[in-house]
Amino acid sequence: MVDTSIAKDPENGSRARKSSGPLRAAWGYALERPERVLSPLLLLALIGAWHVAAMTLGLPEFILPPPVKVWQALVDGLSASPFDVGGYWYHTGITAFEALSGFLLGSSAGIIVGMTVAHSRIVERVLYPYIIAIQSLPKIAIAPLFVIWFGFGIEPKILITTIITFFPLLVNSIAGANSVDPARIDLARSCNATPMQMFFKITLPSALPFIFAGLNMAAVLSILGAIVGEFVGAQAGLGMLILQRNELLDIAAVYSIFVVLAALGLTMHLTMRALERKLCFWSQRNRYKADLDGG
Amino acid sequence: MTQTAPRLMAVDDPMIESETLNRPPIIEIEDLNKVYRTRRHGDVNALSQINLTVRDGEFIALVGPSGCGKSTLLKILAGLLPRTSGNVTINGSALDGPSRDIGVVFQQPVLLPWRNIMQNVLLPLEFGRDRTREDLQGRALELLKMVGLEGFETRYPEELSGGMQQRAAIVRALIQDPRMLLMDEPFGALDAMTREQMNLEVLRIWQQNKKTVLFVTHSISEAVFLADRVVVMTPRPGAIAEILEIDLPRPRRLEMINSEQFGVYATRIRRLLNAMEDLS
Repeated sequence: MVDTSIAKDPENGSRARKSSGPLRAAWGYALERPERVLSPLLLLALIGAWHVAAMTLGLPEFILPPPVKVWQALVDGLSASPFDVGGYWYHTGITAFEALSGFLLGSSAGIIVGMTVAHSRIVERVLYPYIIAIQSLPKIAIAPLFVIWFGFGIEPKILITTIITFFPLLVNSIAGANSVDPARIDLARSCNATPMQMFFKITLPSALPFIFAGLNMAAVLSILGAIVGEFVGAQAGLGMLILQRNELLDIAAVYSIFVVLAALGLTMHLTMRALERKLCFWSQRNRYKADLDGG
Repeated sequence: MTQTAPRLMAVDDPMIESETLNRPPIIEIEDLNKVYRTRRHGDVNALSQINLTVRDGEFIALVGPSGCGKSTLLKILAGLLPRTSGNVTINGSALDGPSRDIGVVFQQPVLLPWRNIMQNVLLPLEFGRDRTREDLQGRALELLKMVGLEGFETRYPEELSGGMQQRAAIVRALIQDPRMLLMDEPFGALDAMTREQMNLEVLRIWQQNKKTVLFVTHSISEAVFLADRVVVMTPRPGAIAEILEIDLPRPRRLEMINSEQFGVYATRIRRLLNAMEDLS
């Protein structure tokens, strides 16, 4: 009796967690990481509200399809084989390939150019105004031009994604290389480090947290680039599929493709996060510590 | 006080000084000048006519207010800064850039957070053109043990306290067995208790390994406690005001800080430093 009363008391959450019983353990977990419970609950609530709205507002299905229809479209699309041009897997594969190749090309080029630019003060000062000017341009605007130059294949999409992902890494690599603690440079110099040793053992690892911030940004932008590239003119890909279903007024299918895109974006983000944890563990830990100190 | 003051010029006392005086010089600095060219303030004299001879195995403390050029002097000796004029001979050859004979300990530990303690300590072996591929892991373990960091080899810097990190930095400076150790206010960031412990530690390392140490500090008592000779520097331009022989028995113990003789030295240095304040 005494035990259950403690478990029900939110004030004593930690004590309840220590005592046995799966329910109490779950309650303790919920108290410790409320977002893990509240996040899915929010999703359920939103879908519920959506369902109620679709039922009661009486809007036509091509404006607000009920969640069940979207779910059906999603299941239909995903149950097709990956080689079926009518199914989702095929187009997801195309879009993911475009996004990923562009991301890899653009971000590696951004890192290499950024590090080279940062290496020379004078080159950096000459180029920086242009870099900033180009960065604030909407690079998507050149997508139609690429269709004229390269046609309707996947090349213009990869190119657009490359350009979009290039700039965040360029800017962040320069910032990262410039932010290296001068004491680390002194340390390496006092040990007679060669320029190569300086770069690979001091500059690059020191800049890694900045580079990862750029990579996280670029990961999101890469999907955007691929989709916009497909909007402008394509034979395959999720962007093309959205346009196609839109014209057929199959809005439930359009919504279900959004779900696929969200899943793709989340996968990219989580992969980057895992990679950052592995390669950049020290800054991750520092961030966590800083969070604890701040809170 | 006035009676004891002349005794500070212990150079007159041949009996005490003969031992260190007979040792060969390891660092010779002649008429060293350092001028920084700045756009806003024109030429700034950071160091002016520095003359100093350091003997092998000597413990020298450089003390002075901030801006007196003591860190600049250390950086020049470490080969990290070019000099404007003057001659510096280290271990018989003219100074040109960083040398393996010199280990540097900086104000901050400067440990790389992505390397564990062992990897940090062995870092200097990975630098340089003519790297000797010697395996110094055993020596590293020995040194870590000496500074009380046994068992911390696989820990990461952030898991260690400030004092422990600075000990690891000392081990890193010692890893290639340099003859000289340049220490630039290494314990400035530590609390007073840890600082005393570290001072004892440094003396132990110095005595065990027979290194020559140049120790920059702004703490007068730290300088007197550690050094054979204290070089008192003045700012604007950075110059040597006086070199004091510290004639306290070795090994030094913390109680000596309260001794009358210690107080005499400290007062003398403080007066020198205060006199500068009045001038500027």
